[in-house]
Amino acid sequence: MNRIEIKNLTKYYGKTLALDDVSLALEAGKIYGVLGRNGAGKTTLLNLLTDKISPSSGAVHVDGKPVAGNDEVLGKIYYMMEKNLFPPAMRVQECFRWTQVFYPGFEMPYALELARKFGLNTRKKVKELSTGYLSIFKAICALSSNASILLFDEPVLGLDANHRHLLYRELLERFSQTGSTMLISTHLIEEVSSVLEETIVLKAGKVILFQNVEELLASAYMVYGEATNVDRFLDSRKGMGEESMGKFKSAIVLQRLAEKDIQELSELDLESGKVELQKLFIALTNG
Amino acid sequence: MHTARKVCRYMVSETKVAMGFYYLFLFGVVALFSILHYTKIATLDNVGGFGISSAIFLFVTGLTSFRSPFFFLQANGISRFMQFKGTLLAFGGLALFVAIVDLGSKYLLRLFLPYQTVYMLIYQSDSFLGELAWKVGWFFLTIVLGWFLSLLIYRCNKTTRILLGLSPVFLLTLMLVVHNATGGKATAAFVDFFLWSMGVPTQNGFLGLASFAVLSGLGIGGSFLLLRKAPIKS
Repeated sequence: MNRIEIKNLTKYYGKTLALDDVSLALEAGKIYGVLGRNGAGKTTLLNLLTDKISPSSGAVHVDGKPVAGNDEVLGKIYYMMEKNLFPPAMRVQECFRWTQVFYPGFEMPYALELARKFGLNTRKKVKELSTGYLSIFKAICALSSNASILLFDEPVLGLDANHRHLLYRELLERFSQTGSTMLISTHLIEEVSSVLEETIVLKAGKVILFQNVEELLASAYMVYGEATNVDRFLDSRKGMGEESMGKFKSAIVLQRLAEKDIQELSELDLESGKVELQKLFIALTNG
Repeated sequence: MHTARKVCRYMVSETKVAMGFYYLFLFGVVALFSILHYTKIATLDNVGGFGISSAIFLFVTGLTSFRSPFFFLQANGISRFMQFKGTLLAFGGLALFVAIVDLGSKYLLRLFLPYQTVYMLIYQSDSFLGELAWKVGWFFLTIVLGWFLSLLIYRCNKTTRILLGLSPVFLLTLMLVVHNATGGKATAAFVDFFLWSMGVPTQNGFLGLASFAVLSGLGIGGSFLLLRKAPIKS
């Protein structure tokens, strides 16, 4: 099953509130995107999910069992951290071997196959890897671990476009094979939007949105045209993320596009279109 | 395999190279002493102190056994408690191994060098089991203390780290003040207590072993408290 329950999770760093009473229930076998601006609490949330840090209050349970100090539960989770936790002098192949010791389901042939696909030299020491290859190496460990819950914090950090594309593809392929629950925290929202099923948006330590990506995108649309007409259109609607260029303006409308909206758009000589997840994210998290 | 044993295996594997170098160095020193002794370049009435070098080596091993393994084991989803158990298991194994090698070398070196161990010098005894137990206790304490110290440094913030660094100076100054204020009586009492706790006046190695056990227990308890909620820090 591997249902993750987050109950009233709060984390203070000294007097700084990093996570503010977060409660979530994450179903198994879905890909979640943890989105938020810098300092929104994404990494803190992932660290708390894996007992890397202790919460100030609240708790995390997987299938009703607490995560904190629980090796049985921790063994089901693989967390690819942004920070490198591997010994710098250890060779990649040695890291794979040790990961296999701690995650008995680790698939060495698959890890080596991925290393070949990405062009990762497994004889290199961790300290000899570039930022991009360090991300690739950590992602390979995560994907090959066969853990039923995979957490990725900035998995594409330092990766070129080709490698990013390959990683997203491998991620989806692995998901379709294993059905693992995946949580991906990233700033490259538009790129990852096609991979995500559900999105969790954090702002100043609070969850401001937790919704299915398709539903979310369907529940909003973009409107473009002459600024005065856009303003008139928005008079009776909830608009956000307004952008002006000369006398033209665009805005996001947070509601489903209905027949009467299409009619009004036509009367005002305005155009509508699908909203991108990144634009919606910016609108939601700005200010 | 039980997780604690996996952790133990990893911890032991981390010390293999350093241990290899240490014994290579020790072998070199023994070879040098033997050459000096047999070529009569230097007359050696008594050779010893390898136990002290082993204790120093294990203390340094303890010092380097926290940060990197903690990060690596955290990356592999190992709980802090399991890391604690596995590490102590590894320390126990290392202490036993080094004690056996140390004791074995004693019997080997005595064939061609006037070799005396620390235990023989302190307790004037040649009991195999007594010395083995005493050495295991001593070595275990040194490695635990090294580990505890590295954990303490890791958990300290900048200010407490500076205070910790200055603490030997404060301690020394305090000892001097107390020494002068009591006309040396406090120092003499402390030395007497230390010697008693080591079982020196009574030639009782097991009293020394008991003291090592108590100190190890304190070190283990302190380490547990420090590790219990240790976060991943840069």
